[in-house]
Amino acid sequence: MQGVEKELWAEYVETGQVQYIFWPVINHGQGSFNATLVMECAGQQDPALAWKAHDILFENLSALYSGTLDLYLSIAEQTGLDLDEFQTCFGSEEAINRIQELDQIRRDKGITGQPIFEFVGIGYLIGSQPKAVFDDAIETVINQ
Amino acid sequence: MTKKVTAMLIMALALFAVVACTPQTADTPVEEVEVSEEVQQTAVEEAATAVPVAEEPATPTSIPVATQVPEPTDAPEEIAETEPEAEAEADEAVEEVDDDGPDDAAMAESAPVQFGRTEDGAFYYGSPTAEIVLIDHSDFL
Repeated sequence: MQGVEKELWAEYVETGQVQYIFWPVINHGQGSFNATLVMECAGQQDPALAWKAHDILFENLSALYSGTLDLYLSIAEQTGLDLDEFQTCFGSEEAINRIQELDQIRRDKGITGQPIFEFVGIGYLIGSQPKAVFDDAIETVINQ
Repeated sequence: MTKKVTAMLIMALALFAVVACTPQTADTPVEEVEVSEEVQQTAVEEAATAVPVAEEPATPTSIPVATQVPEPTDAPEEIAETEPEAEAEADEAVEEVDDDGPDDAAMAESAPVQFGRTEDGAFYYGSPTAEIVLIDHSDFL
């Protein structure tokens, strides 16, 4: 989700009120999978870099549909990753298995579309939402 | 002689009955305390303010849902929860955010804002002890 994420981070995440989790949804075949793999491999080097890769991936949305290894390496370089380590991870069973497991968990929960925002233990917001909707939801939970 | 003994027994029994039926009294006599009108009024006022005002029951509110929650397919009964592993990820890179957020006292009680992984392996940003956990289920495409 790239809509209001940065605003939510500034107002709620960085103030300690919300823990924000990215849960990959693989709904568009290999392109989805490879993009998620890039984030996974970035995160293996540094969890903070996973989010940097996440942002760059969304900025290159159209190119990801027919992504090539060169594209992923370019993104890895922009992210500031060790490219050798990245390539090792990119084809590793460990990284692939982790993504498959995460994807299966969300399927088991009934998450079939995207984006879907889950307020853990509370409820869901389906689809992209304006910030005001998140504001209302978060304030409702905080004030309960 | 027998008549005398009988009479004494009767007297003893009567005496016993009297003692047994006499009501117990306090060792110290209760003194009547005169309460002035002023004190009485104060007591009434205090009682009036001490009565708790019944609060209106909180109106339950719910998070607005833009559309229906998708029906689970073979989903388990309980929602799988993702729990952050703050201690397990202590060796991971930690980035603290310098902001104008909660005061020192509040921050001391909660884990710092950081990047990390949940127990399941998903990436998170924020405090592992945050009151609200928000999962962004998204596809890059």
